[in-house]
Amino acid sequence: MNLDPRRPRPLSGVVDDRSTSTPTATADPTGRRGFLVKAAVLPALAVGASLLPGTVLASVAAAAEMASPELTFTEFAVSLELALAELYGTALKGTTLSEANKDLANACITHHNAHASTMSTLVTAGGGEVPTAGNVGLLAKFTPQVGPEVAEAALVATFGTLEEAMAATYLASLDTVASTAIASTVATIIPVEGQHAVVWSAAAAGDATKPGQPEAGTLPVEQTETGQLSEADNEISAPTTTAPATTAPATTKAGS
Amino acid sequence: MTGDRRQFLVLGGATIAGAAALAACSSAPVVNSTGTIASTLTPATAPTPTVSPDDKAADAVLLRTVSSLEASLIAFYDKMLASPLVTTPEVRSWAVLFQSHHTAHLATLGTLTTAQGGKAYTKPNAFADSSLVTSQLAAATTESDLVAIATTLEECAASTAAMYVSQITVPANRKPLAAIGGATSRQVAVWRLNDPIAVRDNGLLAAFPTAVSDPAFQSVRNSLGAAAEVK
Repeated sequence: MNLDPRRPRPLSGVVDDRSTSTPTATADPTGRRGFLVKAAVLPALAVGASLLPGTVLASVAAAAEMASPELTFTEFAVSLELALAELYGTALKGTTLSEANKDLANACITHHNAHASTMSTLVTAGGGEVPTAGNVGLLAKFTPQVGPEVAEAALVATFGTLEEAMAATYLASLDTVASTAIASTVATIIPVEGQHAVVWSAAAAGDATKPGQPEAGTLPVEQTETGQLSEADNEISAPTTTAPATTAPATTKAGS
Repeated sequence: MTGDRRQFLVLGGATIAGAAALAACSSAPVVNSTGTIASTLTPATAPTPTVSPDDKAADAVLLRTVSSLEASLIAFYDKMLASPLVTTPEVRSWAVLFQSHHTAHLATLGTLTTAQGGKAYTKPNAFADSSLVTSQLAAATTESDLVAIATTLEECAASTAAMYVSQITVPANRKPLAAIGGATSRQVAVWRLNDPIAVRDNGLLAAFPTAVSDPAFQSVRNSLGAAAEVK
């Protein structure tokens, strides 16, 4: 199975006028935040009002600072995100998912597409080639597990595994990544992949009417690298370390 | 704190939480719900902030600040667990688990701080407490009120950790910060899923934030700014 993102690929797609605008707070449908605002001072927090969460710097400086392993990782990440979106899409063509789980799958597609778009900007800035299709190896491995006849429980379990793998992969990349632009983007993606894993676990524990409580295993003390995806061998690999780094980064891992 | 980083923390008289001014951009095709390639977005550019490399003293400030948030969470969970308002077993269990996580985070961050030549910090963050906890706790009348405070404080911690990864100058410090922030974000999702009103209205999607423009990414909107830094 080939996970190498650098394959001959045509450019495709049409320009879309969709863009990420300056964030604006949307109404909280639950009213829960209303309680907090009444009680005191959410607005008093010094917040990054000029920051647009989940979007990326693209600059000559960013491109210049990106070393080869970093470029390899960003291309790899795009291919993985596209693969995740495609796998969810395949599952949605089936008939076994509940409406609630379909909603969640669609939300995950939206998120993974956004991740792919953002990482693609980094690829472009680094002078790389943006993958236009999902990672071949990952799709070959998991497409059978999300097919139209697969039972809902198995689908949910697979989604959880995939999301855990993504979070782990991004964390592991921080050993390789020196670019601030990439690192800061990764730091905003890891949490969401982790949240996906938690929510799928809650889905597995719940029923058609409401979610259950996620398994405690989806709430580790710290995000780990367990289950990270490898560019080199396309296998779900064992973690290399879970301890916080206090010294210089380890030598570059697979993918260069 | 380095001058280069400081200049990005104040903009037009208003304190902002981070150095990176991010612009919307993408050039990738996207896969829609039917699994087909849909469209691409037009890339845009924005200036790149400069960060002095390997400024251990600056990193120590960030690590101490995150430490203070962990301490705030530990202290809050003490109060939550002592409150008669908490009656749901699952809520209590999560509070116990998450408090233990934050205790571990505090130890990790202390080690990292010391490695940067700083002094480990173990006290709660006064700014965060006064902004997010004290009066809210006094006004709380239900278990859900306490869950809401936990949600916000955890989100603040997760947001700050994500923000600080972009500000950390010693690259080796990014990973542990991201690991802590990633775990904290998961806890936010759990609290959101234990908000019965949010779940009633949004089902599983209650786990994701609604007050941000792009829930695909950990927001940094609620990260602590310079006023809350522990120097």
